[in-house]
Amino acid sequence: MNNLFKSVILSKRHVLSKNTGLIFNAVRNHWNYEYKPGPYPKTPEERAAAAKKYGMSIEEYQPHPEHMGYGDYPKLPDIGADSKDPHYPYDQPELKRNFNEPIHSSAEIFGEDRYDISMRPRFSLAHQWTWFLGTLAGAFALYIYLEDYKIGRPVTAKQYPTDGPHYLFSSK
Amino acid sequence: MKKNISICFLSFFFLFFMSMVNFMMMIYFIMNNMVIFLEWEVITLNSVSVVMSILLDWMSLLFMMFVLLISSVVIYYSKSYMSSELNLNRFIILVLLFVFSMILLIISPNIVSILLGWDGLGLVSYCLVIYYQNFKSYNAGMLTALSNRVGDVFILMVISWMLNYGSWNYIFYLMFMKNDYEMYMISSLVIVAAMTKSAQIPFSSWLPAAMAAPTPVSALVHSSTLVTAGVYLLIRFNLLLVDMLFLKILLLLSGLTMFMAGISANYEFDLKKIIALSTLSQLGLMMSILSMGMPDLAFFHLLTHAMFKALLFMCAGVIIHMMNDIQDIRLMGGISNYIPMTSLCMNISNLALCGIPFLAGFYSKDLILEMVSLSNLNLLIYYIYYLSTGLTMFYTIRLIMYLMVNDYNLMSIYNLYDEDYTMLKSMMVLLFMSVVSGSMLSWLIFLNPYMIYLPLNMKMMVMYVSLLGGFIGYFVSNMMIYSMNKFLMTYNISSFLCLMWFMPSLSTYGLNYYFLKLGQNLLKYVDLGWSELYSGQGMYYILKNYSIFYNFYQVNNFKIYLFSFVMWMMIFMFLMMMIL
Repeated sequence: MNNLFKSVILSKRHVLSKNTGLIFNAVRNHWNYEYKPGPYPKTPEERAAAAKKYGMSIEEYQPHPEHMGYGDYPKLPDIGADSKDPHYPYDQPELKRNFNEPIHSSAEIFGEDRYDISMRPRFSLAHQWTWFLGTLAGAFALYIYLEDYKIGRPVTAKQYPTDGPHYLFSSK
Repeated sequence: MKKNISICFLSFFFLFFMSMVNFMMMIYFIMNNMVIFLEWEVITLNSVSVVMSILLDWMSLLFMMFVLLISSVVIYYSKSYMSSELNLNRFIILVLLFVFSMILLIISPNIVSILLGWDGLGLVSYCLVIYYQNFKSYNAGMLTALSNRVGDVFILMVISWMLNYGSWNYIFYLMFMKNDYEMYMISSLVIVAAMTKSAQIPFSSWLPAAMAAPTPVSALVHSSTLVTAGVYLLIRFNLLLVDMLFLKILLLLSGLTMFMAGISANYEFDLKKIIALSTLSQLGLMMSILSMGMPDLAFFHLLTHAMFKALLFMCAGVIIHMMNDIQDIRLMGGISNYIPMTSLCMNISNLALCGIPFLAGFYSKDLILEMVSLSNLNLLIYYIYYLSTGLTMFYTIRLIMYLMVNDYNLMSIYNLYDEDYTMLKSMMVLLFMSVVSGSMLSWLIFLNPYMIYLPLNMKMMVMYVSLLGGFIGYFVSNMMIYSMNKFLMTYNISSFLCLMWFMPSLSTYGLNYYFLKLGQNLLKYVDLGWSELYSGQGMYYILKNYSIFYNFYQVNNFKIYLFSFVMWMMIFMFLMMMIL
């Protein structure tokens, strides 16, 4: 798909607008056997080799549980991108990631445009819901109570000349 | 370069011309009490006829005139504001798409073409909010689009309820079918849809978040057109809104919206968010007067509010450009010394917002407040109306103090100047309209003036409340009473009030966790759990074991012969014994 675009752009530059610049600057390859993680490390030597492969230190390297089938891919802490330091000069500031930093195994759900599971809100959700619904409920209760105490300019009752049926000719 | 200029000029001239045409037509229609209903029959098959209808009466022509005027001025303004944008063509085309969706919504007497305009508004406003493509804009756009989507779903339900009547032209049914159960349902659904679009209380979080859009977009979309689409829909449906319990709930919720937005605007330090919360407060005012049964007053306030609010956003844009793209008012100041023309526009639109006598906002707002005093209202609602009017004055004076009276706070050495005349010229048009349109509309629309007869103190209540709010705003800005915000005793209350009653975080964080957890449980226990047992992996094992089992019988085993021989002997014995 991006090869198609690139071929169109390169062959027909005079037709396309002058602002067509670099559209795709990432090279995508299909998944291949070199991307497959190694087997689950059982001995300490294997763990050290796996930690070195992924660029982590031995203390912080921790594989996923064996039954999940992830091999020796490291299990990184679940921190969403919104909780990471915004002022640090990352190599890739869009992903808040440095070069050669291992990517989380479910990295697609930890971006800045997703729900941040590691966020600790200032007020707990229970606090927020209580205050909000409590204010609304209090306003409703006050409203219902004050239905008997209405404002209105002081008027007298309507005075009719005689008794008998009186008709209103207005549309209801 | 030439291409960018010409699309702005072309669309400005076209829209301005159409706005003037609509103005002339509107005056003619009002004076002669004319309505034009155009129908175009697309196709008729036996008894089903597909007809496209356009309704041109004075209300739709007047609203179209205002929408086209504001959008033409905003496009001319964005020629200069967005001049550093590489893809200005894309921006102008999106704004034009938005304007055409709005016009489709205004002129349609048919609920399906209203849905087309309504959905178009929601989608195009999403594209405009995410225009600056960073993560914050993406999240803001998602909040805007999904809140509007809820309203779309309710309009779809109105369409399906209206199938009971045989046609989707609601205009014909409103007066005659008022007592039906179906109409009752339709009116409830329309009220909820209008509440989502106009950002009333449960759905208020998207309006301040949508300030991630470029300022011309905020001036057009979030001040006058998108947010008033809900109010306009309810004005069209106003014959149905009589004597429902839901109306009282709407009155309370819109009153609370007005109040909440007024309080939150006092704690805000982002210029565009203050103006957004002020828009929210005025929207609450429009919806509440509509729920009290006075749709023409709501329409009047809608139009005058559009004028001065768009002007306010445009002034804010000039100020933001001048401050090197900073929106924090604590770093602003002294604009009356350095950019006097812009501060003139800002002042007049702020005063019109407060309802200072004889500017545009006075005619609509004061009339609304007097009609509120005349009606037989719940005491709480009366208090909310007047307190919110005082709060409007409070945050306006606070904004003026931060922007104009106090001095420039950003740098020590500066050279500030009024931006080019393009932006100023566009603001002058709206300045003229925001001074004149109040009186002009009140003479045009209200053929018989309202008879207001009030005791002196009730009539002066507006003045008292405004003056009180103004004084408090002045003192608070001067005497740094904001240290009261930092007391730990009032921490809970002040954070509740300033964070818009927690609605933004409740609408996003609060609603996400449960549904994501539900999704995770569905994945873990159903997708990867039981359905693997019964269909995916489990079926494999079942079939394998069954076929092994049957294979035993297919490969003729000697045991089978012996077994069948023994069985036959037993049956034979049994039969012999039965016979004998």
